[in-house]
Amino acid sequence: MEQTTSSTISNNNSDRPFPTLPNEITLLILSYLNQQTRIKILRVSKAFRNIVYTPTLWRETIVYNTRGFGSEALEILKRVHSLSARASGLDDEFVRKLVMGLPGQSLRVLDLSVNDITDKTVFYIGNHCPNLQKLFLEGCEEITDIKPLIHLSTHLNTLILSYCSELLDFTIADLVSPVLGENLSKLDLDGCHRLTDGWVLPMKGM
Amino acid sequence: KVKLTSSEGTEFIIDRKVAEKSVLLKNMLEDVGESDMAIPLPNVTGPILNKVIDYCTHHQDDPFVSQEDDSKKVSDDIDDWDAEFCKVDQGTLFELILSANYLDIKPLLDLTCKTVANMIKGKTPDEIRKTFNIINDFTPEEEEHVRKENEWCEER
Repeated sequence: MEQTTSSTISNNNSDRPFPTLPNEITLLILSYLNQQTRIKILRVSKAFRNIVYTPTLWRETIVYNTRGFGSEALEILKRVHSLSARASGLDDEFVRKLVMGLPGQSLRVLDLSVNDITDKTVFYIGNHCPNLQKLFLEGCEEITDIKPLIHLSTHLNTLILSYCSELLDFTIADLVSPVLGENLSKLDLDGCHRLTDGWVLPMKGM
Repeated sequence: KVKLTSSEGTEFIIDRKVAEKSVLLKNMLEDVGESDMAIPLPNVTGPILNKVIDYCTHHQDDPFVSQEDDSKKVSDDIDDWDAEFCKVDQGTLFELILSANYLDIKPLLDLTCKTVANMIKGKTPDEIRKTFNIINDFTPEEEEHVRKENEWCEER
């Protein structure tokens, strides 16, 4: 008895934010809007919410805080290339949800600077973000060990660890050794007070 | 010279070079070769076709740019002539978008889409609804839920 033949799946007019424009054109229009404008558009109508949740619009995303972050957010961020969550108050548990919820393949740039994250987060990143090229952990004062990042050696070219004041020498030695050294073109260890001169040696040529 | 007829049968005669700004027409002309036959454009009305021809005539000497999809997209790079060209009512603007899409004139499609994007920028959700005559089909609770579930990416 069900009549499903006449209903189209996605481009039926009531699914269109602008009734006269096909959705691929609306997506083109939305691609010119920044994140803050997209957030406003989300609330205009259900059709707008649905289209704004298209992952390709969220390749570059800024996380401002952890409020409301749930399964919808992970769905939106499926294709994210660049994620900045600087000073957003996130913790290890949040990063675990984020990094493990995303297909790790897509993430190229990750900024978690100035957050209360620990070695656990470094472990998640090292094991779940194989294509990461740039990692910013500035001012993450609880991190001591960055050895798990060795798994990222194929792509990682920028590693910012400035003011990770508890960072320990020996955990860096492996990273800057020939394995990683080849791709890593920018390493910032400013203000890592616990580092001694020992780590400088393997770094020549960088 | 190339002959085009709009949906209501109005005939337009334009230079081949102008017509070739449209990838659709360019391909057709390459397939058909020289011909006196008018090309019918049943999806485009006369006034819109007239506008499209204006655009293609003004831009006939522009180089063909194939834009990288990943390149940074900005909408504030519209020059004076183009901005003036887009000062039309919303119905016309949307018809221009559809025609640019149908005729496959990428720079005109980009221009008109940027213009709509600029009409959205800086407005509240309510102002956006008013501008485009969109009905809010959220209940207040649903709208609040949407706002809440996106707090993580909202700058304050």
